[in-house]
Amino acid sequence: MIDLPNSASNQGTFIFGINPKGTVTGNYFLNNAYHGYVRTRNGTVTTFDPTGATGTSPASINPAGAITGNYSDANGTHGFVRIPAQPDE
Amino acid sequence: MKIRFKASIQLRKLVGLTLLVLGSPLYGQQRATILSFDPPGSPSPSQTFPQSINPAGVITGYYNDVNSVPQGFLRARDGTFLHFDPLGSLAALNPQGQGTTPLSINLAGAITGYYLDVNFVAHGFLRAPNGVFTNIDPPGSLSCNPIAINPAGAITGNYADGNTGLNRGFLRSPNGIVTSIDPPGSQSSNGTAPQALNPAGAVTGFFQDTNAFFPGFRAFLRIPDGTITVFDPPEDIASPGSEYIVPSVLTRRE
Repeated sequence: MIDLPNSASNQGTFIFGINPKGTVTGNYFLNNAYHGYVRTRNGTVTTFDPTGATGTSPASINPAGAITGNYSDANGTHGFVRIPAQPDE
Repeated sequence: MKIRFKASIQLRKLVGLTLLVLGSPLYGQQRATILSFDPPGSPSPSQTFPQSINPAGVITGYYNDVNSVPQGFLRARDGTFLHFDPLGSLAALNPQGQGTTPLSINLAGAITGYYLDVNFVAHGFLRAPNGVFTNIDPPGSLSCNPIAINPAGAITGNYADGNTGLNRGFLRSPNGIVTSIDPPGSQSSNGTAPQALNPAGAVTGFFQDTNAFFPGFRAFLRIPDGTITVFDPPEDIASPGSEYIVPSVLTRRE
């Protein structure tokens, strides 16, 4: 089971991608917005949102841990790519 | 006094060295970089939906143009974009809802997804790395929705079978041979929906089990020899099929 921090008060955790290392990405709902997360195989969870995002939806993660997806802000829905500084970040 | 001075220098060196080391990317002090993008020609407000990133960092997806028609794109690692639409999608000629929806890209850069023709019929497509398109329409298909491609070029997805009236899963081998995927109990109009396949060609997804007392959705795994295993989460054993289980990803080990 994967539940994000503060999951007792959120309204769902979703998985949209996993890479060969077992690193998982998806989003979770908290404080009226979806936020992105990445969870490494050892259980470390990092949450993220592009600057200005009002909702984040990761779609895919590659073996290096780069994540793509979309996010919304006042100007519409945009693509993003999140590039880790190191493989399991 | 001298001893004190030396100790102070040593301390400063230690602090400086520590900061230098901790500040190095090798030790994780750099944060991940998040880049935002919209393909050139996107309307404002934009509607950009990346779907898949391959090991080389190449991204495919679609954006809705000014007429809300989905347009396929490919974003190279250096940030340059390529637009593409399979022949027949008529996205540029007949902006009434037709368009292109890429869904998956493999290491070689082969892309699969679907497009709508002038009659709004969905056809699967394979875009080879050299830009050549191949239609994917299993025999009897009324509409086809490929969803994933693996490194070898095998493709899985589902299609509406006009001969049986069923929604069926399919696996297309790299040489173009299409095999239907019908887990036991999937003979219903809601049918089978593969979601992912791994490098070995194992496919996972879900289907509606009409054999279950409560005809809910169940998960399946099809290994490369064609054997299909149906499974439910532990909490669901007492009443298999009564809940919803939707596998969406599959790693190397099946």
